[in-house]
Amino acid sequence: MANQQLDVLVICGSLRKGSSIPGGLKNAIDWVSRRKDQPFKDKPVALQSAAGGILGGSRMQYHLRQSLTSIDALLFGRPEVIVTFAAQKFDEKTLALKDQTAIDMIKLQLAGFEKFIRRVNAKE
Amino acid sequence: MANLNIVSICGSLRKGSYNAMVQRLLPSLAPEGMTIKPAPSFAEFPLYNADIQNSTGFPAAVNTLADAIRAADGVIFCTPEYNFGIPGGLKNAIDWVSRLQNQPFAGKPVALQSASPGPVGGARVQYDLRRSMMFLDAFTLNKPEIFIGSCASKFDEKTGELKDETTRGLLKQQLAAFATYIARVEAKN
Repeated sequence: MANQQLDVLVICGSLRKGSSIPGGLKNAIDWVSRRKDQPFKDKPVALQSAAGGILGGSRMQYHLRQSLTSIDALLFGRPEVIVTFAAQKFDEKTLALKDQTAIDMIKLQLAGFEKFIRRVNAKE
Repeated sequence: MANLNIVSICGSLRKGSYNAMVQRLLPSLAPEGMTIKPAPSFAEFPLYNADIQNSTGFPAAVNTLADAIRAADGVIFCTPEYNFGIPGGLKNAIDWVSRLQNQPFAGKPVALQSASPGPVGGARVQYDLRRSMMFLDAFTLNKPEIFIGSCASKFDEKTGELKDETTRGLLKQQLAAFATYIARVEAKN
């Protein structure tokens, strides 16, 4: 799907690897960023990550933030969605998120993100 | 000093890559006793996917690169910066080999070099690479750092010859420092 057609982009499912962005995802960003009419330019972006450990992919998020800054995305700030100890928070069979705190945080972020989009779009 | 066998990994796949020019130059600048050879290519690696790892296993090319890293006394990265970060293909290669048992970067001396047409010369990619290497327990050389800014003016595009003596001197200095560093960290094993 062309990013140009979206109001928003949520990058999620970004399991950190080696404290950073998965190579496959970075490769995708590298490819699309070379287009004329670069698709991330002025695009509101929110970040979410889930990981098995105590940091929940936070280092990866800061790295992604850095790359998206270079291509002029408009990055949403807080609340951040960092799902730590993810293996305990998802139902392994249904893949449903069971953790109420995480669910509430995602809802909060999406609501905040909606306001953010309206605000930054209004300034264009 | 004992003989040191180093492998170099270029982060760019582009034929005319300036970083590949740097990589090709390294053997001529190495101190006595240091051999530098290009590592096997990661160009054919699939995108990392744990399902591949858990079904058909690691692709042969991943094992080939990992074996070369394990067998080497040190690794030198020569890489461009894409979007303030590590080129996706290179990061994908690191992601793959890092998932192997006997993780090849563990305890491995690593040196970083980057060339870019802009003024900064890839400082950000080096700090990102440094962070990933830290996670993988590599021993990354601190200084001297090699940031080859405005690289288009420093290399002959056709011959790949480095025309800038300052850069040549710095590269030599780093390779010498890397040899000393390797001796130091290996002595502490």
